Amino acid sequence: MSYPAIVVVIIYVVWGAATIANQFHSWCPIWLRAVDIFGLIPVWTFFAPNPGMTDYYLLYRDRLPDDSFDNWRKVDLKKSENGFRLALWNPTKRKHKALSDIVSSLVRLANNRESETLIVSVPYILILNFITSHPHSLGANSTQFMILEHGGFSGEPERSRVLVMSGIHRLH
Amino acid sequence: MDPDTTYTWIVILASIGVFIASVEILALKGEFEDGGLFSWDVLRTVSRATLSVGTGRPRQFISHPFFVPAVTGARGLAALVLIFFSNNSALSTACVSVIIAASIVMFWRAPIGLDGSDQMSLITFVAVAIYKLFPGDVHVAQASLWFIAIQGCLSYFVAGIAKVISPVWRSGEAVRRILGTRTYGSRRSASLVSGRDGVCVALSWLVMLFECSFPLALAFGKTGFAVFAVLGIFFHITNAVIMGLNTFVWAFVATYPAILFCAVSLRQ
Repeated sequence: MSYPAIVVVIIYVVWGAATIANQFHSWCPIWLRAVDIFGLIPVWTFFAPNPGMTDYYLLYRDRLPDDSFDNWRKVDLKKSENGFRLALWNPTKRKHKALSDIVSSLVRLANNRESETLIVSVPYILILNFITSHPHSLGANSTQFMILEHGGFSGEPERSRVLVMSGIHRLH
Repeated sequence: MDPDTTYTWIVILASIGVFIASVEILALKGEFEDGGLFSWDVLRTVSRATLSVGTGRPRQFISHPFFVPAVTGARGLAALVLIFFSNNSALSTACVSVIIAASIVMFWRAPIGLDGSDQMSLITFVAVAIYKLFPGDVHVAQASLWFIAIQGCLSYFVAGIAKVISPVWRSGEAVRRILGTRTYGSRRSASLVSGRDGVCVALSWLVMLFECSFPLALAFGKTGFAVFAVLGIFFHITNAVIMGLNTFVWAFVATYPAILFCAVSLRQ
């Protein structure tokens, strides 16, 4: 075996070991994820052990000049219902996954932090920035967002749960 | 199948997935601009490294509306070239390098919203690049194929074990509720599993059995591989149609030629 082959085998063994270690969320050392600057150490626990079994909805409402609030509006992430089209072309899955990642982080942070630090966290600012760029009511001076959890097609409408209710933020 | 033919199939299959993923990102390009879900103004604050890169001129460059379309377009174009010209050594090496570089740039640019197919594609292309770095070395070629095959088998096995230890998977509740979401299900899939606990339990255990036993694809030569390959392709196409996980089909099936190569090698 040549020297390059030996080096390559060592790289693969180390990479494989890091992959195995990364599957154990609670035991995996923090430094392992910190050194993964190229995103090469995967997590293969798809939809398990605690899969996302609900839908997240992002809603916002505006405060009008007379200090009253407009109705809540849902941010539509548009997904095709046609399964065969989805099997070939599904750009919105990235938006759904991103929203799901952001909401999960936000809920985790909300459980561990004070609200003062939550509003300067990346997930909170991402959502606020996203909401701010959406159409707003004429004359609206500030906005507020809410993240709602719902069981999807199998859930009952009245069983929606509010996960996060933001403060009121001024629109520029 | 010899290593070169195996690599050709891996590259073609993985490139189709990367091409689709790249065009899908191009369709979302508005979300990468200021005010979008992947706005650089916010995402650059994720880490100290991106924060330091994201100031001054580099910031203007990265947040420019053409940055993401240019990087993703280059990745998509390289994947398209690989689909048709994977046998041209110099060209394919250049295209593989472009795909790796563009994928890493996109990982830094937007670390949210990525999924397992993005990870598997990147891992596959890095292993292909290492093989291409030492073109005449048969041991490097074999080691890279073994690495791709083991990552492929490990992905199914870990997913299976993680489900087996989960009460909601063992009871079938996970299948019923995931297929009932609007994100990963549809009205039709929800009605198919709604109120049918037996179907949910059966589907759950079939998935777990398939995923946990997938490494056996390496153990029984061509025949054993063929059984798991057919099941795997059916599994991914079903997930693509019902759950919309379209790029998983290409990213994970791209590891199958490597699994076949290793299964045959083990048998010999």
